[in-house]
Amino acid sequence: MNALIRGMVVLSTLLIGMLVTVGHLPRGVPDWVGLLRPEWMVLVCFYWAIELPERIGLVGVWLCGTLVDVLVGDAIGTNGACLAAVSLAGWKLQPRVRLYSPFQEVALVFAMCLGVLLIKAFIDNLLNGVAYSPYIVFNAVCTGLWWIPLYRVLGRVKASFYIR
Amino acid sequence: MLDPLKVGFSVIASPIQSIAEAPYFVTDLLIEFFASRNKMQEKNSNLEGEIRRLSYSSQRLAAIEAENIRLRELLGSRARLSEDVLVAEIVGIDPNNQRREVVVDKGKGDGVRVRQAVIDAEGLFGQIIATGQSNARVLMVSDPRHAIPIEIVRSGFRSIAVGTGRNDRLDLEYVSTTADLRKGDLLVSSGLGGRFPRGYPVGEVQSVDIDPARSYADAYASIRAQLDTSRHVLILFEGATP
Repeated sequence: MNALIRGMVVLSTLLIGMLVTVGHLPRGVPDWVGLLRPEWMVLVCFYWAIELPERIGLVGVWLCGTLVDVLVGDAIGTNGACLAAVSLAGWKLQPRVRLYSPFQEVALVFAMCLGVLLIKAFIDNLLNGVAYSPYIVFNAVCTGLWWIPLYRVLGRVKASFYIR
Repeated sequence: MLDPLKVGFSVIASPIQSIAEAPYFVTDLLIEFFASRNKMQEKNSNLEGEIRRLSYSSQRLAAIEAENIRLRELLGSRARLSEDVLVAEIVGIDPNNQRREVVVDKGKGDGVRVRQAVIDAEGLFGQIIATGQSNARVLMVSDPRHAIPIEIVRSGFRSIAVGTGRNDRLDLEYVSTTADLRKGDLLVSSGLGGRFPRGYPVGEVQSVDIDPARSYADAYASIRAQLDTSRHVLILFEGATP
């Protein structure tokens, strides 16, 4: 399997991450279900940053984040900067994360996601006067809990396509 | 400054948005497809009734409009233009719980501009906050960043209705403890500020809590527009009348 296909697979996971970030729940599903939605792009970018640190570039991640900004209507640069920071953290912590227990990994993802959400809330507060919401913490907890299943799914994808 | 970048990225983002919203519309289609015959007949008869009611109302409105124009002519003021609106379909909904935004299928190419007011069949829906070539983003009245100057039809009392993030509630700001306001009062846009035309229904007062120890009363209202269920909205152009 050539490098192009493997690259396309990684890009597809990022694209799917964007789709589920933007996708709306079907009509009739209660609003609170939306609260269980994690920060998909944070999870996907962090995964590839720790698994393929030499392949995922800051510029690429930033561009993905900018696309997310346009899709969800955030101020341009918000998600780009946040995802770049997450990827940077992934690269720096990559040797250590491999030795972490699942619980430590979840705690790390929670802390990182909380940081990202606080930055976004700060920007939203600064630009639009939106008050800080306690849902931020809940959202970060959900993102942390989604880490283990997502890690396994992406691990399968990585193994199936021999991505190294 | 970043607008060209945003426009460029929105070209790439547009198909992603369409794919992401597909499950939402597929569910709708399936629900409609499998709706029982009885339900359809009931819906049909309700719609026929609604058509008759609206036809009656429009006849009355035509007479009132004619009278209104005559009176305006008598007063020497220019008659307002007739309805100038654009029908748009909602093609995307922001899944963020902290925001209330939707994407509609009309954009710059159709003459849509930022700050235009948007209504649905029941009342004021929101306003345009960003436009692409073929789509536009609408900030709904329930968004916490949204505020609209309103007045009470019964008493003429003016206030500001601010979104709460919930699609069924608006908070009324600066309501003095002596304000003439009570449950069931209809709120309409006051036209102050120039962003929204005057007279479009916004909601109904649901509760007024007066605490003499505080400068302002706590009041909130329901929202008339069907923010959760509307599929089509109307974008108002300058000169549109309620």
